[in-house]
Amino acid sequence: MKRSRRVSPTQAVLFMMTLISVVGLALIFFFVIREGYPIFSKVGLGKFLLGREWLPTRGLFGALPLILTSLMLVVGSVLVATPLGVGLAIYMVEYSPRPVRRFLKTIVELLAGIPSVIFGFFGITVFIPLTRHYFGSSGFGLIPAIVVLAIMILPTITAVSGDAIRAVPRENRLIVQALGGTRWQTVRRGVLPSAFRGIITGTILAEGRAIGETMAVLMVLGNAPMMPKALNQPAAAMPSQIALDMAYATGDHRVALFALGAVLLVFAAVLIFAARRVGRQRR
Amino acid sequence: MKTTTLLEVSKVNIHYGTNCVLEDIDFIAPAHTITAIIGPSGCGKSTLLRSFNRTNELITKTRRTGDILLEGREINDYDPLDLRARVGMIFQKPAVLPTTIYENVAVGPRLYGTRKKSELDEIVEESLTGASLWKELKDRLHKRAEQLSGGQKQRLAIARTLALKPEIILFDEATASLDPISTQKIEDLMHRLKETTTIIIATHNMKQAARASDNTLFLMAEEGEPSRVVEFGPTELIFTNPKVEKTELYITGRFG
Ligand SMILES: Nc1ncnc2c1ncn2[C@@H]1O[C@H](COP(=O)(O)OP(=O)(O)OP(=O)(O)O)[C@@H](O)[C@H]1O
Ligand SMILES: [Mg+2]
Repeated sequence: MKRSRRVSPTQAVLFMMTLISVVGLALIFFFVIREGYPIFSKVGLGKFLLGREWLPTRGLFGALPLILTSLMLVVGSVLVATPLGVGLAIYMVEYSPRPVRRFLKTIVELLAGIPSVIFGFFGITVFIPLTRHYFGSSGFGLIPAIVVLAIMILPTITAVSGDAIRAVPRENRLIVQALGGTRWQTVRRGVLPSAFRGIITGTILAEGRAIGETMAVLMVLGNAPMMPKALNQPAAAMPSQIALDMAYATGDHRVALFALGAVLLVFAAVLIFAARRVGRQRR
Repeated sequence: MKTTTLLEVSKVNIHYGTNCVLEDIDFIAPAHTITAIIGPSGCGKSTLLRSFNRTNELITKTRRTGDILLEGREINDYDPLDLRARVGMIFQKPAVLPTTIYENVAVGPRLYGTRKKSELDEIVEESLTGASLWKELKDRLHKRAEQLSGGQKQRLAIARTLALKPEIILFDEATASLDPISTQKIEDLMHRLKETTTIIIATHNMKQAARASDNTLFLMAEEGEPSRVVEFGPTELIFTNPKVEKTELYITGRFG
């Protein structure tokens, strides 16, 4: 039998799609870095990354406050959302009766689909007054931003860890159950150890979402590009600062925004590679 | 006395939903014996075994009537978790928890609150010794259990069960996926474990039932009916001189 050497239409389409995504990705990296690069050579990479003052109109391009704020937002929201999201996933898979599970699943899916600007409104009407009331400041700042981000990334964490928990072989549960383990002990010793990597993958994916989130953060963070000193004080993060300044930036300022974008891109890429590494080690 | 009855099963019916799978099951398991449950696939061997440690009730809507007495006391009157510590179970698929060999054995005592390292060390050594694994594994206790062979995993499962010092161990086709040598090791082990426990096995392997057990319970269903006890008695008699023709046909492999 001779097999046709011609490329099948499916192969051709798949190849084109692959090519488009690879080229697209390369172009994104290329342009962001090309547009931003001049500022690195002008002020120096070290000064850009570690400078503490972001005053573009006065020619000061220290991105450290923005980078630190972004990192604090990621760490804070993941610390808040992981226990909640994993807890919710455990409850949904292991404890909840079917109608409750369906209901929660719908809620989580809806939560994942809400546009981020709506989360921003929610933060402004609910968490900013609460922060103002309890922490005595303007209300804008890291606290409401972390809370809003935590809610936004919760669905990712819940969905991915829920899948990981469901994928645990029944035998693992049976082992603990047959030894007389309680329900929680069964989860704790029979289920969670096998699901652990999946849960970590979920949180890393969620970090990727948190670091890039622009709109909701912009609406509640207060956007003061200063070193973040306290959680109840306004701050500014990389993506929201870019979005804000882009409207009017020219010259070096514009270049600096692209450079900031490049830094953001690197952070996001690192997170994605970390997620893949952890995911690949899964048994 | 050596011949006290440890487990007494009488008039037991088991339903899944409205579907009756076992009807009017009677037999006894004297202490320090091995009972083999044989019968065609789907006749309810696993179901019956799981009813002894009440894990069947975790799986589906299932109902059991009749009496199952452990040391004269209805098992439904025990706390189910305590009962499961006293009635251990080994499954067909050699499964381990995704952790170290040590932790796979220590998990049972940990569930019941044993924390002290010295105590756990002692239990782990004793249980691995009991499962003929200590010599093989004593230098690899803190290696992952997933790396073990199927036969070792199965003996590790036995060690895990032994760590709770059970009175009964149920083996549900525990050697079905093992090679003859590993199977032999497990059978030898069962024989030794008789000193401290009572064993009930479900098996498709007639030779195993004949070799390893003291008593045999043969279950089978008529077309469209629940399974019943066809014959129960000393293994030697069942295999050399069965009273019922069906038994002879089944054990000689002529049907079922
Ligand atoms: N969870 C369940 N829900 C409903 N019916 C079940 C369930 N488990 C088993 N059954 C039914 O009960 C009967 C007995 O099943 P069981 O697994 O106990 O048989 P078995 O003798 O162990 O079979 P095998 O030798 O193949 O392991 C079968 O007809 C099966 O379809
Ligand atoms: Mg079975």
